[in-house]
Amino acid sequence: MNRKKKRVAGRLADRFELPEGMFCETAEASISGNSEFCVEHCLCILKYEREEIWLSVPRFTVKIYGECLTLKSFFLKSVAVRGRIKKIEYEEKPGGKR
Amino acid sequence: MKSIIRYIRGYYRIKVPSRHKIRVANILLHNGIENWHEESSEEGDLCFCISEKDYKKLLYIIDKNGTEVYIVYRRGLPSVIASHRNRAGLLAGLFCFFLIIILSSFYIWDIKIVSDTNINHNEILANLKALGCYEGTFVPSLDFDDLCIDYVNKHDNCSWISVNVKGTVAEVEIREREIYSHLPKEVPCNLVASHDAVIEDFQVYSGKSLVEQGNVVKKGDLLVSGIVEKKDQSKLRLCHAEGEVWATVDSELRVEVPFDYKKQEYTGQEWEKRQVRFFNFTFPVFSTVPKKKENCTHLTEYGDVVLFDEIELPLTMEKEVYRQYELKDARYTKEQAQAAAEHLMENKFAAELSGAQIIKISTNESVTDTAYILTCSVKCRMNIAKPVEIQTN
Repeated sequence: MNRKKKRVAGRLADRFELPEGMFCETAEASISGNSEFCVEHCLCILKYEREEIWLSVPRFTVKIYGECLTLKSFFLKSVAVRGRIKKIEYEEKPGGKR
Repeated sequence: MKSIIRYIRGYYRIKVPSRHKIRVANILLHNGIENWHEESSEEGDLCFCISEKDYKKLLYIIDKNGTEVYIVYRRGLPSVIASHRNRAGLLAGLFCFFLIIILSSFYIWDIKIVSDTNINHNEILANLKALGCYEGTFVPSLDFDDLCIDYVNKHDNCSWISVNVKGTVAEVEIREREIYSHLPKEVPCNLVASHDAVIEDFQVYSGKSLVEQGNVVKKGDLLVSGIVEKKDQSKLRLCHAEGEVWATVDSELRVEVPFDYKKQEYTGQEWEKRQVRFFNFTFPVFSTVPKKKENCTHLTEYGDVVLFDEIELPLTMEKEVYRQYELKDARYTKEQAQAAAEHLMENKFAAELSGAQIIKISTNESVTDTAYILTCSVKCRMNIAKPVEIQTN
């Protein structure tokens, strides 16, 4: 069912040339240089270390690596990570799990 | 703005040990608990601020999980109130302060005359005081409309007055009356000639004209009569004659200044008296003035008490200075007598020929053994109509 919804949302987004986030809940991320990384629709925080922060977003686990990493805001499913970001990884959850 | 609201609501700074920080962060994330100023310490502890209301919500959630959080500090208005809860004196003082501020705003602290007027300011203040408006008056007890109307009715030199209370200061705006006739309109009067003159032109607004162009009139001659016939010619009635009678006037003004005069010379003896005035009460501060004092000039200075160059207190410092003088015989030189005569002539000119259009003027000076005499022959055009009341008894 979920897969079907996502497929329909994907098609609509393609047809109307709009972001997929408008039709279904997907993570929306923005990066400011290498110092700030913001994620909307964050499901939960999986790991919180100074060198490594893992965030669970729909379909993915976002892994942020760097130095002096801190969570600057975690409010209303929006998370901002600050610090010296070196690497961001997207790891697909097995079976497209939310 | 946000920080002000946060301060008013009150907030806590919370510290979460590193072993629980992910759990607490997730609780905040999922329960929509607003937090700010997040920081991670070197040890990995998480610190953040949350409002007092959200703190209770957080405590309720974490109590179920057995998670530990510590309060670093509590800030904001509720904490300030709570910390001063047992200081009743402070609260009473604050209450009294605001009460005094509010009550004082009901009283006039100062009266300022803002208009540029020739009427003496002390006279205006004295007149207002007689009508019940003075420093210390309870503002709600005054009807300013009635006050202004009463003022205008009682004082002929004022045509319009307005008293506006701004905060605790009453600002007075006043306009002088241009006096054309000293007689009130309801008083019947004639217009008579103020000088010997030849009439050039006239305009009569009310009354019966008795002169024509080219007539020669003497000082005191009747120009416009205030006794007029009724329309049916049955009876006479009295009216307030009004009009302008322009005429050519030949006038001679004479000023005599005696060379010998009495000069006022200060002896150097001076007495001072200081007092403080608060609203309508006067408190003496010190005085060196003797009970018996003769031949003294008296000068009073008023100074307002101002705090930080901004706040004007309802206190006035009064300084009275008495300076003793003695009268000594003195003698003018010719130049000094001439200067004094010229000054006197200017004053006489202003008093007798005010509003006149000068056509020709010639001066003559003469010196006798005892005096300096200045004579001025003036030919001018002026309004010679002078109202004189009709005595009906």
